Amino acid sequence: MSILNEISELVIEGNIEGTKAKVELAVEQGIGAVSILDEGLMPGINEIGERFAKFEIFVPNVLMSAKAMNISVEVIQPLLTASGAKPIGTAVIGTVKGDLHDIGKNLVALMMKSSGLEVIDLGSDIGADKYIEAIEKYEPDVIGLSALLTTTMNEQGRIIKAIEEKGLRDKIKIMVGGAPVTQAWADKIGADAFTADAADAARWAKNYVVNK
Amino acid sequence: MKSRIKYDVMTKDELNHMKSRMEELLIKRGIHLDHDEMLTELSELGCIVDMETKQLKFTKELIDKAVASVPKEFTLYSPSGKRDLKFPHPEGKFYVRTNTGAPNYMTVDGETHFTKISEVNEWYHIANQMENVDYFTLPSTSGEEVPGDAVDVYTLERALNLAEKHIWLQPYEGENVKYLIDMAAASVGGLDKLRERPIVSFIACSVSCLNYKRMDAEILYRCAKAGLPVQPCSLPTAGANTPVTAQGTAFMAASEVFAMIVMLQLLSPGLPVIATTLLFSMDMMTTYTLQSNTEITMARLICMQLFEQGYNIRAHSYGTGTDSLAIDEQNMIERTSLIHSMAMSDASVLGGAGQLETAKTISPIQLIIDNEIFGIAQRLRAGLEINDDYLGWNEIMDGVDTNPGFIMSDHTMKHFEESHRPDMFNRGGLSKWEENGSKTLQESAVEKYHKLIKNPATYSLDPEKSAAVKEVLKKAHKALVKEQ
Repeated sequence: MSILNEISELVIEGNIEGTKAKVELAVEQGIGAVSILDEGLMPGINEIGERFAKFEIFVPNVLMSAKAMNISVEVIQPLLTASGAKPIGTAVIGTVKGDLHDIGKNLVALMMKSSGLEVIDLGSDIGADKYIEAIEKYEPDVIGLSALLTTTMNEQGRIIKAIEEKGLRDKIKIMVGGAPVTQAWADKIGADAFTADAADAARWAKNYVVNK
Repeated sequence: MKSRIKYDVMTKDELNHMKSRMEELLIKRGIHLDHDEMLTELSELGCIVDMETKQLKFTKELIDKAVASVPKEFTLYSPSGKRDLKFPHPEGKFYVRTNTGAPNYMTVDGETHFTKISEVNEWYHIANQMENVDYFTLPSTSGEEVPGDAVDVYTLERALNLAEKHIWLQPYEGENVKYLIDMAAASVGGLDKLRERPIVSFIACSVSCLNYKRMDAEILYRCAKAGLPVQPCSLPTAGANTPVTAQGTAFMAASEVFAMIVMLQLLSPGLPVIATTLLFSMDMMTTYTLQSNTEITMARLICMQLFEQGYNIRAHSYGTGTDSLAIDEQNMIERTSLIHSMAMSDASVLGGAGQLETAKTISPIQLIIDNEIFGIAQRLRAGLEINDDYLGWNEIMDGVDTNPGFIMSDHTMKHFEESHRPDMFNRGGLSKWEENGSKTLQESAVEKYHKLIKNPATYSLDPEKSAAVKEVLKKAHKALVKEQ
C-alpha cells in the first residue's frame, strides 16, 4: 500500500495522530502537498462522506475522520499556500441572533472544511450586521444561517432581508438549516438552499462552488 | 382516588447522589446568566457573581433557602374558572397540556403548513372540548398573517379570547414579555388580579449546558417581579449539547431547571414553579433530534423522581409525542409507550398533546386521539385499590353469580361506570364495525372533529376585557413591530 493510500485509510479509521504522523512522513519523503491532499486525505474523507450518506457509520466516526483530515491539512497548509493552491471556496456560517445553539452549525463547519472549503465561523447569536461585515470582508461564496428554535427562525428572514437591502444578495448563495427549518420556510424567506443535515450542507456548498 | 402505581427508576442512594452532584455543580461550576439587573440582585442576595463574565455561582445555604421557599401547594387558574388546577392534584392524577413550540399545523385533511392565526381559533375550539386536556400552550403561529416580531402577543390575544383553560406562554422576544404580562393582566382586570389568580404561566428555557440567554433571563426576572408562575424548562439533546447517556442528559436538564428555580425563589420567595425537563436525543447516524428514544423516556422518569421525591417540587415532562411525521403505526407505538411509562412516574404535568414530528407539528386529529390516550393513562395512574368492596366479597359469598348474576347486581350498579371507555375505539365486534363504515381510529377522530367543530364555543372573554386586551395588542404592535 502506498503512503497516500495509508493516509486515506487512516482518515477513514478516524485515527487523528496516525493520520498526522503519516502526512508528516509523506512531507519528509518529498511528496507534494497537493498530492497528499488530493490523493491521500480527500479520498479518505470522501469515502467517509459516502458511508455516512448511506447510514453505514455514525456521526462521531465522521467527526473523528474530519478532525484527522483537518489537523493534517494544517500540517501541509504552508506548503499548499506556497504552491498557490487555494480552497475550493469560502463559506461564512453562524447561528442567528437570539440563538446560542451551535452544535449543528459546528458540524456543518467541520464537514465543509473537510470538503475543501475555507470556513469563517462567526459563532452564535449573530445578527445581520455581523453577516454583512463578514460578506464584505471575506467575499464568501455561500453563507449559512442556523436556527434551532421556532422563536429564532424568523431571524433568518430578517438577515436575508438586510443583506438584500445592503445590495449584497446577488454576490452570495444563502443556506439555512436547523431543527424547525424546512424547504417551505427557506422558500418563504428567500434562501437559496435548505439542507436537512450537516453532510447535505457540505455537499450542497461544495457542489455549488465547484460548478458555479 | 390517589395515585397508586409508581415507577421508581432510581434507588434512594442514586437519588441522593443526583441531588448532591446537582447542587455541587451549581456551587462549583455555576451558570452563565445574560441579565445584568438579575445578576446584580442575585449578587445582593448572596450569590457569587462575576459581572464581567456573567458567571454566577450559588451557595449551599442559598440553595437550601430557595428549596424551602418553593410552595408545596398552589393553583394555576383558568380563564373560565371551570378548570383551575390545584397542585398537587387532589386525586393523585397528572395534568395534561397541549404541545408547545410547533411551527407546523396538520389540518383535518392531512395537509401540513405553517400555523395560521385562523387555525389558532380552531385549535382552541377543539382543545376546550377535550376533557382530558387541562391546559394550553400557544400554537407557534407563523409570521405570514401576523407580524413576525409579535406572533406571541397576537397569538395570546386569540388565546385570551378563546381558551377556557390555563395558558402556558412561550415569549418570542425579551421585549415582548412585558406586553404578554400586560395583556394577560388586561384580560382579568389588572396585574393584582392576575397575581392573585394567575391564568397564565410562563416558559423560560436554558441553553445547555447551564446558559441562560437574555430573553429567557428576562422572562424569569419579569415573572419574579410580577409574581407570576413559571415552568422553567430545559430542552437538551443527548449527545449534542449534553452527555450522550440518558443519565447525563437527565442530570444536566435537571440541574439547569433547578438553577432557574433557585433564582426564582431567591428573587420571589414562594413563587409557584413547575420543574419542566423536556428531553431529546440526537440520532448518532442521521443527526436528527429525537423525542422518542427509549433511554430518554427513562431519563424523563429520572427527572420526575428527582424533583417530586427529591425536593417535593412539582415536575413536568412529555407524556406523549412521536418522531413520526404521520398519524401512523410508529406514531401510536411511540406515544402510547411513552405515556404508559410517564403515567407511572411522579410527574404532576405531562405534555405534548396533539403533536407529531418531534414536537414540530400539531394536529387537531392527533389531539382528539391523545385525549383518549390520556384518559387511559389517567386510569392507569389511579391504579386499583384492594378491599372487600372492590373484591365484591359480599356478593361472591352470597352467590350472586347464580341469582340474579353480576350484570344486574348492586355491586355492578355501583361500580360499572368506573371503567375508562374510549369513545372512538371499536367495542362492538365485526358486524357493528362494518355496519358503521369499517372506520379506523383516525377516521373516527376525523368524524369526531367534524362534530366538535360545529359545537358552539364553550368560552369567550367578556367583551369589555376583550377590548382591553385589544388595546394592549395595539400598544405591543406599535412598540414591537419593526416594519409598520
